[in-house]
Amino acid sequence: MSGRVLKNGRIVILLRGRFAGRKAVIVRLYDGGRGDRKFTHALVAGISKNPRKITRAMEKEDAKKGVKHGKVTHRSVVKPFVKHLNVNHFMPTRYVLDVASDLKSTLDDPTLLDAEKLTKAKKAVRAKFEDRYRKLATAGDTDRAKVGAAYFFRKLRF
Amino acid sequence: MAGRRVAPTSFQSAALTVTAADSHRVLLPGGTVVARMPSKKSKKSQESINSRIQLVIKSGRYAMGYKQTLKALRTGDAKLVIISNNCPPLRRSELEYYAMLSKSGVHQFAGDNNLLGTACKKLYRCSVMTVMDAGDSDILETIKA
Repeated sequence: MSGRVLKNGRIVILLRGRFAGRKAVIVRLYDGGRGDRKFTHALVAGISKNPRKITRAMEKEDAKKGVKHGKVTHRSVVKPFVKHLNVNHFMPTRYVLDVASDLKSTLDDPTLLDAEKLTKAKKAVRAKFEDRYRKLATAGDTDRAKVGAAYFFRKLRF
Repeated sequence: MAGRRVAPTSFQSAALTVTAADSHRVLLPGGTVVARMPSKKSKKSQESINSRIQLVIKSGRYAMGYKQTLKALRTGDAKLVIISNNCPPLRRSELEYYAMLSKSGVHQFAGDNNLLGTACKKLYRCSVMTVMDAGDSDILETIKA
């Protein structure tokens, strides 16, 4: 009857640390700990800076100017973070992000240990997030996916 | 921390299902409706719940305390969460949300943390406990969360 709460794709809210209050997705879960971290923890990819508000007027302005990367593009930037977190330090939500399974291959062990590789991987994460954000309005998503993604990119206000 | 704004559609659809008669129902952030029944339990049913809890203590697997309950809820081990009536409301909401995610049952114990501790035959108080394996007890069947 009971089910596992913390799975790949679950959107969580961080409760501690520099990114407290930010939303993140569980990429990988380490039950019982691993290596130095002798506690159940998760690798999460989250949003450090949410995309800014876009209005229809801005879209029109961009179309009028005919600029390729106009106001809308600049305001749709997502700044991600990647972090290992103790499971106690985030709160799971009922939302799920479908992009998480793709992130798993990007954020594998050798990537996380090497600083250079990690910077590149974060760029890939950012690209993934921004892509998902741009496709928010697409039809063809399941309700759950749509709601989850919309929730993920919205800033939690408190 | 202010309450999260729920997406209008989910809030409204949840609100529509709450009728006037369900005045004891509480809308949790996230759109789920939880029944918070005022404890008008008869003495008999309270005793039976106590005896069921005691049977779980004797024969089943359980965990007492907030931290261990959350742990059990995260892994999905928790089948039933029992919360005392003087548990702080924020903590209570949090536990109910976790239970909703893990599809565990939640039971409002008709008594405060002292009584819940006594019901478990412990000499300390306990705001929240969880049943992971009921053992010989039928507590999971009788309490329909």
